[in-house]
Amino acid sequence: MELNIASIEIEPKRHTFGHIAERFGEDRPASRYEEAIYDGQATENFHYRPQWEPEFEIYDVRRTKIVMSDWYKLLDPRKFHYMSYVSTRAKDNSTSEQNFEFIEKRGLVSKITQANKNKIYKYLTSLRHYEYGANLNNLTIVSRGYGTALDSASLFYATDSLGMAQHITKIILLVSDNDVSKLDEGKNDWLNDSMWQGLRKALEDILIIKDPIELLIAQNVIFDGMVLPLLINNFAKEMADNGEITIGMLTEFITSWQEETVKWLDSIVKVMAEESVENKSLLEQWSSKYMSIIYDALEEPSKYSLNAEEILSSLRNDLILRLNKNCLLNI
Amino acid sequence: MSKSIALLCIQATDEGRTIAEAIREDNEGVVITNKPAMIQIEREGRIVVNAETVSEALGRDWEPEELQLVLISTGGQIDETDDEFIVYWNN
Repeated sequence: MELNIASIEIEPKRHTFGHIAERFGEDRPASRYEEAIYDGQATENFHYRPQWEPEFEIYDVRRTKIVMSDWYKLLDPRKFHYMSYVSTRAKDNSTSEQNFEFIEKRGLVSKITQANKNKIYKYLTSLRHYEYGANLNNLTIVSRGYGTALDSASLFYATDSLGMAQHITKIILLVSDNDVSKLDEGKNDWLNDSMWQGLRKALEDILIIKDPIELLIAQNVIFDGMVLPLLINNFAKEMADNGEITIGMLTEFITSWQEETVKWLDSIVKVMAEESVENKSLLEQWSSKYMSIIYDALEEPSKYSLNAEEILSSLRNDLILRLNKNCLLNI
Repeated sequence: MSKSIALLCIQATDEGRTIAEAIREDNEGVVITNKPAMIQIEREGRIVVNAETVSEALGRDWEPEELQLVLISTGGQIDETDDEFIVYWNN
């Protein structure tokens, strides 16, 4: 008997979902990102308007002054959907874990001088509460923004902010040998120390912004664009200048997270600015408004360095240059 | 005399499809065929996989050595550097 093993090729009837194919104009295989993002949000047949805001539909493009012909233009260059996001963060975390282990194994924490430890407690601990505010603000963007492309990436940003707060907690506990009272002191500083009140006010003021894109500019582009470089990157650099290099290793997670995340921010802000002159001028107005607020708010916390003013103004110039080069904004 | 056909077969995973799209961008006249669970890529003379294009398409840094993770088969000689992976025939 002769056995014939033949292979047949089965052409799938569809290569992707109908609504994705409609968007492409052809039925071709779509990436997981495209399938996860495009037209995920309901757009019609809303039965009831929200009682707390009856002038809007539950998902409504009019919640922001920014006008887009299609909110799904705000694509994420990192292509984050659940799986790619989670696996990227898992990788980031295991790198950070290794840094922590390196320091723990060699007992490097015991080599940190008390003066440097006090500086770390003073300038780093309270940022946990700043990051929590960033988390809340991004959840507001998620609930008020339009379209899955913007919402899912903002949700990742919100989760990351919470992660940053936890990350700072880990650093403080490592440095203080698990002394949780340091965390309470940090909270007390955030609430009562005059050094933090400017930043706290700036952050709490934007908690109530209703326009999701204005909030995105204020929190993610401007505030985080100044606070993290100043109080994480430059602070680590300052510590290194004072002979303490471990802080740079411990905060590397936050630094590299920001390097990655600004690619998304720059790309969506640019798309919105290119859409229309009105959008561009709104984005510019918001950027310069919140830039001057955060600049004043950071005057006190930047005093860990003797050249505080110089650092702060060079960070502002860097950010303005970045927005100009990557997002076409003139501020 | 026409040149031989350089061949690259990669798995039809999400990443594989993205790499195939990047290859299409950089190689004019390339023929990409979707086979069951596999993407067959053919071009006369040579196929270049450019790390920069793939990185941009994937949204993360990608190195040519990662091609091995989705690679099924090749037809031709291979040149691999930090920036590109080339399959070619020298005739």
